[in-house]
Amino acid sequence: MSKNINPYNLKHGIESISWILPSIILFGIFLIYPIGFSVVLSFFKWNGYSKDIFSNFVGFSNYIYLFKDPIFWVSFKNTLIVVFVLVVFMTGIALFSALIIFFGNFKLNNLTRAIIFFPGIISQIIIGLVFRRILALDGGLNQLLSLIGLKKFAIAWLNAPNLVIWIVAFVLVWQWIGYIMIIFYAALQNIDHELLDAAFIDGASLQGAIFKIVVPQIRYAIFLSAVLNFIGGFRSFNLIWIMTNGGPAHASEVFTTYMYNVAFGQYGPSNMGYGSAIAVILAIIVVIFAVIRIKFFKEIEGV
Amino acid sequence: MQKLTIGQKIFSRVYIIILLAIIILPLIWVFFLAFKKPNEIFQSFLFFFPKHFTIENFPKAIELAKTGLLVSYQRMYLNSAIVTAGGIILAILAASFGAFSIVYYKFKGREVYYTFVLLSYMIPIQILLIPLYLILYRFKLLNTYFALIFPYGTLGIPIATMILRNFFSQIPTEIRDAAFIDGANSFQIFKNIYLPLAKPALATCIIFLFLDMWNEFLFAFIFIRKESLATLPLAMSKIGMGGRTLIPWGVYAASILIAIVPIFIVFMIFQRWFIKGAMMGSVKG
Repeated sequence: MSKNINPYNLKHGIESISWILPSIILFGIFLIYPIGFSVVLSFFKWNGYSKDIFSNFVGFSNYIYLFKDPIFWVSFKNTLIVVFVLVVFMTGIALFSALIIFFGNFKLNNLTRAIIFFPGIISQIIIGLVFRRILALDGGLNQLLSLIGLKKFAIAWLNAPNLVIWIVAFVLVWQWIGYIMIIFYAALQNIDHELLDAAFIDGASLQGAIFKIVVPQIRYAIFLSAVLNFIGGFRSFNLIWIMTNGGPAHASEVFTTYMYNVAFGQYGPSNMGYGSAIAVILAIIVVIFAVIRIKFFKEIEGV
Repeated sequence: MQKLTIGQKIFSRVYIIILLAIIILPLIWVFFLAFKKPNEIFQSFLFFFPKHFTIENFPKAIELAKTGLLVSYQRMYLNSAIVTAGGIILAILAASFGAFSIVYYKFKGREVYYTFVLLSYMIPIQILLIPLYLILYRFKLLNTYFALIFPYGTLGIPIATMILRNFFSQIPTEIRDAAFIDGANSFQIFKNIYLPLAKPALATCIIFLFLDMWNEFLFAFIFIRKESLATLPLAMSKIGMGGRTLIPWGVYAASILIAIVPIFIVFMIFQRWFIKGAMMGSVKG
């Protein structure tokens, strides 16, 4: 903090508050009130139509039902698979690729950067349409397989119950890997090159230098991207919804699709209370990790 | 920098080429699909190049939008542009005031407020869906642009506040103190000093918000049921639903290309800003 006189201090509380009032009002109406409403609604049973929203109080039974609901556990497992793929595979591949670009001395020209980055800016609805076409039985992937003589492996990829969640997760990796890679590449540009050169003069191997010198210096970027991917994995909806809508037979159901399908009556009558309970659990998990991320930020800012 | 062995050199080159191919091939495949005649879809040279280029899929895609989706592409572009612009303006107005307040004053609770902003950036929107629908219904805003502008604007405030706060806090306090001694009031200091200096940060904000709002789907899906107000992702999602088997693949691919055109142009023009913004977002925020 600056040592200069701050022209305004606590005495000007009202003036300072008036500056954040527009934000507070918008947050209040469109964020805080809805969150509170959902939390309350999760203790009720409501079909979405009857006028009396809060007439059927059911206590914790939506939450208790959650633990007994096999589809909820399927969606939980699938969400963890998506998170695992994003946090482990995507971070891993992106880091590996960034290291190769860095040590291979590639000059990333504008076109290459643009190609790497482009999937990340397209709507997931459109990405989903593209990959639904590619992964169809008569789609691009199978055409490629038959071209290289592997026709016997051709299947309708999005109908394969054991594969589908992994496939959807890897489409997410496809979309975001360029973004994460560029984050790591930017971090690599800022490491201490003299330390690295000194290590090589001392005869360090490439692997040794990477693990002992490079990775420790970019650990913040790695940790950050892992946390972001973790949260992103829990929140992802659009791509999964457009590609499979949780199917076939819940094989790619995740928290977000299950919440939508339960609340908006895709599986029988609308159950807004139960949908809210799922949303609340999802929000709690995400907030826990958001808090970790914020604490972490305060720590590096404090150093 | 360490010299690479021949083996490492070859490996790194091959690896990068494969990586780029995996990233670009799906898009190239769809691109060429849009230029194929129906009888050529499954038997093209090298599985993606068309033998005979045709543009007949494009007028068909435009026609399909009008008759099948009940909204023209011009209208989708316009709808997306309106809600995106509205959301960005709302978010930046509110956030620039808020960020200024956090940096300029030392009021009680600003730490709490900022922590709240950081947290709300992460909130999964599923928890807002049902209540927002009821609020918008109560205010008679469903099926209007405002049904999206208000939620987009509100959810844009956190990231914009983070970016602007970081930028404002780097502005030397001497400038502010000098203006204060010269008798400028806080609004003048905001308008004449902080805001003009923050142009690069505002550009970053606009890019982040633009990407989020232009591509947003779930709110549009729930709050907009009138075809003529459909945003691009919303209208395109309907190509995927319903008569998916009836749409010829060439027309399907042409529709995708037409839908990508605006963001492709924006990306080409502001590419360096996009990538700069992404890198900045990674360091802070």
